[in-house]
Amino acid sequence: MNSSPSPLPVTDSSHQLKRFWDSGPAGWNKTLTSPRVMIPFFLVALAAPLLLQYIEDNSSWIGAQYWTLILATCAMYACLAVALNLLVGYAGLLNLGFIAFFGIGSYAYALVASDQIHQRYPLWAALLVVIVVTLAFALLVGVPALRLRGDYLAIVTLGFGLIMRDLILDLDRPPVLAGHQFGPDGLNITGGTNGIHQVQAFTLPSSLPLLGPVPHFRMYYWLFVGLLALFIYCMLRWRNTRTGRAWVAIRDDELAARAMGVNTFKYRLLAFSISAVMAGIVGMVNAAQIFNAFPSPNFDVQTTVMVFIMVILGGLGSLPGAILGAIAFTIPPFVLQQFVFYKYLIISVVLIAVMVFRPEGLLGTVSIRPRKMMGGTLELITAEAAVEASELPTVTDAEAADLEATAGAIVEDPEWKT
Amino acid sequence: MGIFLQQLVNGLELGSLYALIALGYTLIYGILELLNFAHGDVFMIGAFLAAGVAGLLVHNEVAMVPAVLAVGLMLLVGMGGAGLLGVGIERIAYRPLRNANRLAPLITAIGVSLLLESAVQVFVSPAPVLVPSNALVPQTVLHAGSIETPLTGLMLLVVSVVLMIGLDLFVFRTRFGSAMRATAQDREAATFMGIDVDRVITVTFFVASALAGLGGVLFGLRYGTADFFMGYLLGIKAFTAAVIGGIGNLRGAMIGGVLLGVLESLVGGFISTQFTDTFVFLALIAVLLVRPQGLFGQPLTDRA
Amino acid sequence: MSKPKILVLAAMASVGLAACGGGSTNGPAANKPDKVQIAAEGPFTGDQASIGAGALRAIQLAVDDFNKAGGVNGTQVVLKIWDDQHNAQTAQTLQAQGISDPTLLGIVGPMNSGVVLGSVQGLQSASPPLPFVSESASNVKVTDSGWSVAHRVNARDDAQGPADGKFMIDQGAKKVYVMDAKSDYSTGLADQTEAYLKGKNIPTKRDSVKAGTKDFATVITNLKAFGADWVYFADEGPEAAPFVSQMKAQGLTIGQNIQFLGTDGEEDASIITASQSAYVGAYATNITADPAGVSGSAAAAYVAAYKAKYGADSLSQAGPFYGSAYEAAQVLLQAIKSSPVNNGKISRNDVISHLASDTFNTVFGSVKFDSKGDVTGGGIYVYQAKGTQMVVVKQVSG
Repeated sequence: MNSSPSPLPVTDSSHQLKRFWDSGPAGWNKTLTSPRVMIPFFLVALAAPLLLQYIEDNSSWIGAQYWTLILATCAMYACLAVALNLLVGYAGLLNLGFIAFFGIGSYAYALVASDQIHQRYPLWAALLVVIVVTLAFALLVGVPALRLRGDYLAIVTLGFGLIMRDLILDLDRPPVLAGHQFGPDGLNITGGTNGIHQVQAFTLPSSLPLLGPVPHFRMYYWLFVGLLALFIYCMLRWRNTRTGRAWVAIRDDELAARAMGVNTFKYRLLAFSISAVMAGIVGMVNAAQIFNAFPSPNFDVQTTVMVFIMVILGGLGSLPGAILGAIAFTIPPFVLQQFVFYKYLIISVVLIAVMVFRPEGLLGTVSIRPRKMMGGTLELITAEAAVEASELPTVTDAEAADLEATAGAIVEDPEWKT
Repeated sequence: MGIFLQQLVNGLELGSLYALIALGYTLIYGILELLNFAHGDVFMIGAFLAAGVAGLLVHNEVAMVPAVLAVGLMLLVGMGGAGLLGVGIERIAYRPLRNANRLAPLITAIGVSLLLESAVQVFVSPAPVLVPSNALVPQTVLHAGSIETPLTGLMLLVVSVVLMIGLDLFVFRTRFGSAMRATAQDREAATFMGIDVDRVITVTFFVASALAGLGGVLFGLRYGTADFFMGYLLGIKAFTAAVIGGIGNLRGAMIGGVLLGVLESLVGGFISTQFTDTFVFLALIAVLLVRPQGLFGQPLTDRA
Repeated sequence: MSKPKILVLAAMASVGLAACGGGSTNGPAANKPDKVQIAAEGPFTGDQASIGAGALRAIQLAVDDFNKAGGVNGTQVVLKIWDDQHNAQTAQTLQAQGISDPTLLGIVGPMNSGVVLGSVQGLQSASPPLPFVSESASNVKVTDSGWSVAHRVNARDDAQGPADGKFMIDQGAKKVYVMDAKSDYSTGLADQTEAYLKGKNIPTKRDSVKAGTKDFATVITNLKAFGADWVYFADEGPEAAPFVSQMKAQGLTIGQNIQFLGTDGEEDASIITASQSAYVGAYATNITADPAGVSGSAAAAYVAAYKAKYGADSLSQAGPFYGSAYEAAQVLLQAIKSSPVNNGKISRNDVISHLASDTFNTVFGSVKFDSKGDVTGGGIYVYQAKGTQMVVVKQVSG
């Protein structure tokens, strides 16, 4: 499908490195998301806690559990960054209430896995509940809001995030509106500021063949890494489908996309819902990992900003960039404990610097650099843009004819019907 | 009835604060189509500047200089400082991205907001800071029938209204105001007409930020306190007010602000103090769905 | 760098230097453990630093005093500082550092009930479990849930709530407006107080303000419309000052036409300054004693030592828990000292059993935990804001 020329066979590794570097962000992304990089990466990631345990067992160092926990947090944020990347990097939508879906997932799971409302569901039922609830909220917000312009979408989603936070904090007692109490005394759905405690973890085998007993913290690290792998795999597959191309088209120039017959609303809703459900599932695993569903940071706007900056620093539209961004912003705060005080200060300075000097981030393939507006030809085709164009899957003549034929009609996407 | 009127008065006072900040949001949006998330934090900086000046001039709840002088100085430093801050932010963070994809300045604005908040938290104080308002403004409580309100609350209301009228006159009756409106309408064309767009934008930012700074000073005098996080929620609500009134529309911002304050007070008084914020944002969403251009805005052309 | 941080580094450095002179692992002194660590956990920075900072200083002083008196059979105790910033998730991460370290034998803290409830599962399911002694967590669930690791030296919400209610009734309250600040601590406490008042047929109206609220005009108008003569505000502290200032701005002056009862977080002299004296005349209850107001030579000696180490005016910033934090640290350290040493190691299980069974000697007298982990005979202390200080006026029990 992709039409980049295959590289000349090289035997020299430094030559290979130079080719890699020269290929620019688009090339880096392609190389880094290829199976020959991704598979070893994930194998190493999975093996990491075992290595740490080995070191701990054979020296005086104690820190395997702690570091596995840090890596698990990193993997979790990487999952969130990938989900946000879908929304912002692929489809170009600004969802400032993004973290609310993470929170909704965590609370939905907590409600069916604890004594809060006296319901305990098995894992598969709980997963279904999380998906359905998150999807319902995504549609509730998305259907009305996605018809609005970008900035308005940002405001509405921000408002949604704030409303959800308020509701979570306030539904620890029956709401009293205009003097009337709605609900019986003692109604406590969300646990208020405390959150929901004593959430049951997933019922998983506590020991695996060949690996022996697996402690809780290690199991959840593996779950997050597995989830990350799943998300990345889905994203890579999606990119080459009609849906993926539609997203990119909408992001780059919505008017043109509409003119080509792409049902922008439907695809926006799709991106919005999928990223929301992804975030919800991550929330569910988090709740099971820490045995709690907390209102903060699960619903804090600062957390959304954190994930945003991971995506931006890594580069919009870049999956490896999202992982890099997640690593960059989860590990240093742990390592530099004494600088935790300055954490948000440093984060905000980095964000501004990246936006001003290199808005496409480290590995970004989306050019949001300022384009010259006047005084000569529009510099649309910069070198970067040219590489971008070659990196994107090209539309074949048959597909172009297909699009023309369906221009203006409601476009059904057969791939999505599965 | 008495309670209703009292809550109404509370709402008008709160609303005038929102309106003051909403004006700044709408000015900046009109000129640059940028949602300046950092605007609420400029308000916060204004309050801190005022607190700093007041702290120097007041010892042990007694003012060292005539109160009027002190307050005047607070206003000068608060408004001037905030105005300069706004100009600086525009220069450093927004100007480089002026022609970029819309996402870019929006994200940068979020970064600036976070920067201001953390900088104050780390370098000034993570805990609330005192503004010795007792020593600077008479703490009388005004009565009208069964309605009571502190003098400072009324002051807030009156000053806000005066400034709104002044701004209105400036934008609609002066030559520079025409330049602002022209730039807001079509930046390229304005350049063709010989308008120094950069200068217009700088002045707009100064005025908008100075208004926010004024809000901060008045807030400090009214509530006697300032903390690094105060701009966050207030900014979001003022911004909501601007959108409800019609973003880009000055009168819309004023009316939106007052309406929002009244809504909040009435909801808090008669429905529930828990869900005031929820109702505010529901109102926003309702307005955006039914009339996306806001109450006084122009109908939007169907642009991407 | 802030003062507490310098002091922490100095304390740790001095402890480290002292430890360098420690014994060997293979010597005949079989009662000397190789390494002993405890952790102090609480909101030492962030929105509740005003209660955490003073407690941390108290714990540091307790460890220093204990080490000067010989430590654990000669081994100096190392103090780790876990700043959870009132966040249970941060707490879990910090605790993970210690859970797999068998030389970390206990925690003084966590200070917040919500942090305890959100992190105790990890502490209890560790092998061996990691015990804690809290100086301020008051939610009843902390000890009602049967966790062997849970202990606290302060009184519980279900003692403080009724005590607060009783105090107001004794003072002649007719109608009480009960408020909380929507936080783990304040909501639970306000619930208890309201239930007590309702049980005594006192009309109440319940309300909450969100943490960080600045404009209380709406709430105060409701308060006046209700016709309350007492306002009960359970809060960690930051909302009290603006709230009472605005009460005054709207015509309600404490002591004249309204009475005010706050809780632990509001037993804080800095609120008087922050509210520009609108707070004068307000009452506040505390679930632990202020050593400066308690008679007894141990308490007085402690206060003197605290002032000597941290400065003459350090008491005004010590917060409400600087006494109970010292007490809790003493309890934990004594339990560790009583535990047997095997091959240079002390087991947490032994520490837990000593916590359960021993009687401890603290600045507030002798302390023994009941089967749940609560102390028997804790009192509630009522303070009043007079001039620029909070002064003890009464001791009540629930």
